[in-house]
Amino acid sequence: MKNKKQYAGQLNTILFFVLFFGVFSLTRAANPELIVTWRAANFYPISYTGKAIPSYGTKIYFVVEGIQDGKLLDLSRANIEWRKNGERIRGGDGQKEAMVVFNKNDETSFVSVAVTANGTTVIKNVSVPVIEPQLILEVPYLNMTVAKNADVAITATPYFFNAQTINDFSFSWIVNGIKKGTGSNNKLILNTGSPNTDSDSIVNISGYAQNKRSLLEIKKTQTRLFISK
Amino acid sequence: MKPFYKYLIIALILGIVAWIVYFVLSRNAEQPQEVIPIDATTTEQIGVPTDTGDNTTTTEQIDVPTDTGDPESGESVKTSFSKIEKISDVPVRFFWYYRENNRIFYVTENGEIKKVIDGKSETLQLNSLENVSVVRPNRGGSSVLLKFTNNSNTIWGIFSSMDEKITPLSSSIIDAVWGFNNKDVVASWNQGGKTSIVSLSSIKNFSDVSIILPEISLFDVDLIGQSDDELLFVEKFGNEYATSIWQYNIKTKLFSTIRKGLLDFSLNPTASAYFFTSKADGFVIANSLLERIMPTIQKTLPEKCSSVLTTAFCFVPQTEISLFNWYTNSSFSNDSLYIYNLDAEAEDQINLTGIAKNPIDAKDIIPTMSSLYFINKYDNFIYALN
Repeated sequence: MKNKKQYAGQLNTILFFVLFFGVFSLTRAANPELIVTWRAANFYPISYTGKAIPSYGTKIYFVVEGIQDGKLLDLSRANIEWRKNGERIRGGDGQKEAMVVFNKNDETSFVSVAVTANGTTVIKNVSVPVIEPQLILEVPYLNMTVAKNADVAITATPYFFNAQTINDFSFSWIVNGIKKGTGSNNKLILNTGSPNTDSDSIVNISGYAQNKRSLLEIKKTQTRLFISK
Repeated sequence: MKPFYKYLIIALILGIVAWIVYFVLSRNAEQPQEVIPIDATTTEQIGVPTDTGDNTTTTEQIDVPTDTGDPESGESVKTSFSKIEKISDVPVRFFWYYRENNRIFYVTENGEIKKVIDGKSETLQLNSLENVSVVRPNRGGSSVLLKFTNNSNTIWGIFSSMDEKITPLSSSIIDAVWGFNNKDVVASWNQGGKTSIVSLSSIKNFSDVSIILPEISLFDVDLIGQSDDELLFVEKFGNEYATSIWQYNIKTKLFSTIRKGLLDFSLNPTASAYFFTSKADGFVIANSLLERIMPTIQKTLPEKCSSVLTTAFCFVPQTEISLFNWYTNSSFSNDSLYIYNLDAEAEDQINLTGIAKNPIDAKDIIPTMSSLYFINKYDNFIYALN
């Protein structure tokens, strides 16, 4: 009788573990993960291999995928709801993609997506960095220092403007306070002067780029060039 | 004990065992892949004989494709240099090394393709390519994937270094890399608005398309063939944006997130080592599983490194430079050169004093058995250390 009771106790322990791990496994299976990726449709030079970062007014395209236990989920029938800064912007069955634009009035830049399938809803939030367009002045000289009697080429390269091609830009330059022309050419050629003449040892250069498609998108960048004797 | 309990326990144990067996089998099951013949409307002219790739390349490890250089010659990699030579006659956008003919090819800023013979550049008899944005040679450089613009459309093509001709590929290709076998192409493929990952077989001139991973859309990711069975999807470097890496196993059909929340992350997978940097990890020389394989003291950018056999070379900026500033040419570096013995886990500086008179900001590093080629960002010419 005693042995029988002991046997029953062991079986109860086994039963407990079997049920525990069975329930644990089932719980683990019901835990889908959302993958949200995006791309910003703004301008950057063809040589840039990084991710385009949106500026205000940039169209940003989002897409969501889901994985569960290593399998990609078919979201074509799942209810998908997109929100920008908490406000619903798109929703419906199988709506895997959405387009979002952040404006200067937006205090934050969050996008969230909620996917409901088989009665379970999973939410993913993405914080999108939004930056000002950038104008890079490429000065390919170590420590910005150039010898005399050299022709120096400086290139103004715009990044993350809401433009399509480099032809959408107008460039202008100011060198030591003197305007050096405006136009579509983004290169400035400067001669650093004869070695025998006294000339400035520091040259202040300002480059400007303006998006002709959106005239308010204008950016100025300054740099200094050192002329070695 | 009541019989009811006995039966219940037996049933539960059997159920759990059956579930485990099913779970294991379903993960390992290899299902036949769907093959889609390309229809006439999506196929462009495929007129060049198939380049069979470089037969001298072999795979020595499971996780990393090993570039064996010239295994039959028994040469060792040159690790000391006495001179620097300018290789191109104009600034270049991209270049590659065709090992079989010991030849450098390059794409100029005007889209011309040139080759270097006996130190002189010759322009190939091809139309200039517009807006060349990607150049991806296979190991050995016999075939090169090119992305360019043709009649305002972005297309992909394969340049054969042997025939010196370009074969256009289907306009359905969004992104393309060489498969791990170094012959087939793995591509992100858009048809009817749906994107899939496919394999284009070199046996049929890249005209047969096998679906590897159906209907998946990921924006701004780079595709990397990690091994015969595994693909990596690496989110592009984003200034201040935390990126992720996903892996797909072609055999088990499992898709998983292997890294996330990576700040300032950049990865350069090369023949014998993967080089990466992130804010948390710093600069790392790793295997294809992104596990550190040797300690490094110097800090550099992955794009300044490459490897051949068990030797890696890295140009190292003398002062720290941010990835974004380097990518955008906002600032230029002054590099030293370091060599890494991947077997001995040793890091040493190569003395360039008296060799390089001008500063070097190196990118696109190609080590061969006898030379170390790179583009100097100060003038965008190709140089060789010999």
